[in-house]
Formats: sequence, structure tokens, C-alpha cells
Amino acid sequence: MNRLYLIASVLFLLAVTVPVRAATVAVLPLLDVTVSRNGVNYTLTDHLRQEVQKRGFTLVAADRIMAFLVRHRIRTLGRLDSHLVEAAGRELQADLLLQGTVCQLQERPAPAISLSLELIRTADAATVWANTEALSASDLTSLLGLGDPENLGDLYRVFFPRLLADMPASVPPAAGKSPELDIDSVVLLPRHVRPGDQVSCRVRLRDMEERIGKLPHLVARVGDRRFPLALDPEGYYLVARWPAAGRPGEYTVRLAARWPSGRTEKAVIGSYVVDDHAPALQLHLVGREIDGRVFFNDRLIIIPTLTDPEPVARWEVLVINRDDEVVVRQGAAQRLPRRLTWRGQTTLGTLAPDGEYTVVFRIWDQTGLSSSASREVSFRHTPPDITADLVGKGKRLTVKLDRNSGMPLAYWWMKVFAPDGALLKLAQGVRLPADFSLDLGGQKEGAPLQGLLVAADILGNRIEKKFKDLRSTSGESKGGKVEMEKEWLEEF
Amino acid sequence: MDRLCRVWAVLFFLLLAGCGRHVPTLYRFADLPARGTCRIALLPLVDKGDYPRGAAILSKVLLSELVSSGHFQVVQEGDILDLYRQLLIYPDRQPNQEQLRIIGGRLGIGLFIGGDILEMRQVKGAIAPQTGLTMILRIYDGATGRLLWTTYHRRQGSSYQEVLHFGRINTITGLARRMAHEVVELWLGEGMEPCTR
Repeated sequence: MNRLYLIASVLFLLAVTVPVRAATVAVLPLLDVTVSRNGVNYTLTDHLRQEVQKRGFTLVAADRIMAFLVRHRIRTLGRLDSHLVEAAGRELQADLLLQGTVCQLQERPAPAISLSLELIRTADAATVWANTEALSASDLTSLLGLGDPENLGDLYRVFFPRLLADMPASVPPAAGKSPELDIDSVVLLPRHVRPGDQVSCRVRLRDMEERIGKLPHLVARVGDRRFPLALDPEGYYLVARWPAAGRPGEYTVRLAARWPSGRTEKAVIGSYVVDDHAPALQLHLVGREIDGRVFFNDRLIIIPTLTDPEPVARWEVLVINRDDEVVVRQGAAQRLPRRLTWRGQTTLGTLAPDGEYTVVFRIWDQTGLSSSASREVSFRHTPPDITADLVGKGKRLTVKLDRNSGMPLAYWWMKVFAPDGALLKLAQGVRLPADFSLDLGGQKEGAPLQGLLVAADILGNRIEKKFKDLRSTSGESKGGKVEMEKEWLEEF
Repeated sequence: MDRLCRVWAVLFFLLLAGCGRHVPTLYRFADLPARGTCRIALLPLVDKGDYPRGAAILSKVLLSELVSSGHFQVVQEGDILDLYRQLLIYPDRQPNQEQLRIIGGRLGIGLFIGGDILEMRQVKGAIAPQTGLTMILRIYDGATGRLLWTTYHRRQGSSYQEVLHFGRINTITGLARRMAHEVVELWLGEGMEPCTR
């Protein structure tokens, strides 16, 4: 029993006297997002190195770290991937990697600093500690203002001890890395196929050239089907090709790897869609609907909708006239527009004539299958063509209004004025032909009579006509047509 | 007298409500997976605010809060960005469900945490800087890519002010840290399963 105590005491003394190796830390230059996305702050990095060293860690020399960054072409700090972390562990003989980001740094108006740090164990690329600390001079303001920090240097004295206060003094043991397939890249094309089309899957593993001969046996699994991957002639990718299944739907591709040791791994690497039918399209035109036909005079809203939505590769809209000439052609390789507006102009920029047109909308899905929908539309932008005939003589005149053609009227009105500006007659209505009579009893014989006629059709096409002198044109009782003006300003 | 007492009671209640703690708001769309929430990937956040590099700052803060909570293994940001590159996803875009499923399968991820910054600001105030942050954080299933939880949180640095200037948060990073801490605490309180030690 005494011997046992003696051995235990010797072992305890040895454990106490043999120095424990301090963990080696590689402090990477700090990413400074206050400067730019890829900014670097060497001043704060030096401060941090000193603070970390004070805590008993062994530091990797800064020039060795810089050489590592250059060798691996690391352009952006603060976000190394697992392979680079492990490489840093190997090449820099570092147990831990300390990477950080300067989130805020300002001298004025009030000094402020904030820093986020991550301590990563290089053995398994696990983040074992992280902390973010922020400090502003306003945080340290005392009631009397005595000894308040005036610059960043004053803040550093408080800031760094706070930042690193709970940084672990030793390396926690690695918990064992979870198995993962070390895939560098996957190219699975195409994403949308028709039944029977060939699907190609190319996989590249990390450091593949160095592992030729020791590569795992890889199989792409799609449902119950299995397709082994083989090295391509260039030796850059492991490739498998297979025909897409006949049944439409989305197919998930899984990669199964069997290593020479018998270890197996699986990972989802992508998916593709088998599509065997063109997308169903509906076309809706927004205009004035009369007897089941769409009319418009200013703008036509074209709304295409997919009854069973799916990604669209491109679309095209055509407007075709009665002579089968395409007056508008527009399209794009992008998603379906929610709505389009046709303002009656041709692709050349001129206004299309009144007439009947066919709007055709055509789409192509990702597999190249196309479908189209069309609707008829009538374009009317010419104002109502109204004629005014004057009948009668002496003190009684009758004005007869009629329209030659065009859309049904929404309204019309006509005013007749005496030479002194007094309103002699206001006639109005919604239909033509129409007539109304004028009693000129109180007027001097031969005095000019002015008139204004306004009319609009149901699409909104509007016309204003000015009559300079009704009497002079009606002097002859034959009811000849009056001279009209196109513009009028009703100002008296 | 009775009426006066009632008025005072209402005023006192309003006063208490005004001083009440504003916790983040959690919306559940589905339950978290019973197991496997330990390994977490933090997706690059979508920045809809105008604070320079706001997403990068909040992302770092959130990562440090998740790690320092001691409950989660957080996947390296570089590994996520590697897969973004492979899947041709822009870092400022949110991956779709299929892409999340692929990333989750490749890295063995239990949960994804992503989100949006709606507003992030730090402006000069009369006495101290004025800070404000509005964010939405989302939790997705690592196996299916499905959205599980959404958390909305909006605070200002002055929200934490107690007496005089004490308690007030004067840096946007400090505010982000405090809010991220509150969100992580809420998640853990609502049943997010930590790693078994």
C-alpha cells in the first residue's frame, strides 16, 4: 500500500513539474468591414496578437501566416472553409486559429470599437469559442466626466480584456469529426429534361489528383436506379450519364460512396425535373368588352397566366393584323411578366390603324416545350365622325346631327351662342342621329351664331368642333354642311 | 374616491405596460425536428437596410451568440459559401428549399438559420449615438429545407436605458449582440434542443 502511495506521489510530482505545452494559435489578420467587404486591419491585429500572447498561448509568426494566405490565395478573411482551417493546422502547426472581424471602428464623434472573434480548432474545424464585444466612449461616461476615454487608445485598455475575458486557456479535446463526403463540386445538368433526355452528373472530389487509385466507388442514385461514376478521360471529373425517366416529376440525385475500407457515405447532390408537357397558358385582355369582343382606344392590358405554374425559359408576344402582318413583336428570356400594356403602337413606333388584331402570347418552358394562347381585340382610337346639317330659314333653324361610323356614343352636347355671348340653346343626348331647333326671334337678321359640339364614344375617344357662324352656313335653306374647326377653347 | 382609485390603477397599469420587456416575436410554422438540431448553419443574411456591411456584422454577432451559448455546433461560414458557389447562389440571396436540402445533406446540418435585416442604423444623437435594429430570423429544417420558425425583433439602443444614461446601448454591434442573445434565449426557452454534452 505504501508503495502505491509512493508511485502515485512520483507521478503527481512529474505531472506538476513537466510543463504543459501551450496551445499554438495562428491569429489571422482581422477582416475590417468598416473599410470594405475585404478590408484588413493590421493595427488591431497586432493589438490582438499581444493580448493573446499575454494569455499564455504560443503564436504562429505573422510572416508564416501571410505566406499561408498567399499560398492558398485567400482573398477574403474571416470566413475560411473547413479545408483551409485544417490546412492551416497542418502547415502552420497550429492547434487553434483565431479569426475575427472589425465590425465598428471610429475615432469621432465618440470613439467606438466592436470586434467579433472566433477560435477554431484546426483538428476538426470546429469553432470552440466566439465572442463579440462592442464599446463606445459613451458607455464609459461617468457622472462627473472625470477620466472619460478621449480616444481609441483609451478604449483599447478596457476593450481587449473584456473581449478575451472568457477565452479558453487550453484546447478542448476534439469531439471527432462527423463523416462527410469531401465533394469539391457537382455539375448536374440539365435541371429540366424531357423523358428520355440524357442527364449528366459530374462530381469532383477535393484533391482528386492526389487520390487517384484510392478514390471511393461512387454511385449516383435516382430513386431505385443506380448509375456508377467513372473517371472522365481528362481525369478531372467522375462522370455518370443516364436517360431521364418517362414519368414526369422531380427526381432527387443522391451520391453514395463506398471507400476501400468499407466505409460508406451518402449525400444529396441535386435534383432535376422531368417534364413531358408544355405549360398551359391563359391569356386575359383587359379592355372594353362589347358583345364578347374586347375594344380599346388607349391601352390594352395583356395578362398571361399559367394554369399550372412552372419555370419559364422565355416568352414572346405578337400582335397580328388582318393581313397576317406582325405589327408588334416583343419577348424576353426571363420569367413571365405579370402584365403587359399595348398602347396601340407598332414595333416601329408608329400608331397602328384602327382595326381588328390578334394578340398571340407564346411561352417556352425549361425543356423547350412551348404553348401559346391568342385573343382577338379591336383597336379604335379615331374620334367619332359627326356631321351637322342645318335646315330652315328666317327665324327658325333646325340642326340635324348624325355620325358616319365609329363606336356607339357615350354622350354628345351642343351649345349655340348669340353674338353677345349669350347661350341660345343647349342640346344634349346619347344617341345620334338627333336634331334640335333654334328660335332666333330676338336676334338681328344676319347676326352671326357660334356653336360648339362635343361628343365622345364609349371608349373615350372625344371630339370638339367649333362652328364659326351657323347663320351664314344656314342662310341657304338647303342645309349645307357647316365649316368646322378641330380645336376650341371655351373661354368667355 | 373609488373612481379616482380606478383611474390611478389604469394609469399604473399603462405605466407598467410601457416599461414591460419587449421580447422577440416567434411564429411557428412547424415543430423543430425532435433530434439533430445541434449542428447549425448560419446562412448569409439578406440585407434590406442601408447600414454598410450590416449583414456581415449581424451574421458575425449571431454566430458568436450561438457558439457562446455553448449549445450548438456552428458550421464554418466558408463551407456554406463554398456550397453557394457550387450551387450558383448569390451570397445576398436566400436559397430555395431544394438548395437548402442539398446544402443540409452535404454538410450534415440539423437546422439552418437565415433571415433579413429590415432596418439597421446608428446616427449621431444629441447626447449619445442613436441605434436601431429590426430583423427577422428564420429557422429551416436542415433535412428538408422547410421553414419552421420565424422570429421578428425590433429594438433601439435607448430601449434598454434604465436610469440616466445607464443601460443604454450606444453601438449598433452592441445592440445586435443584445438582440441576438434575446432571440437565442427565446429559441432555447421555446424548445430548441441543444447539443448533448
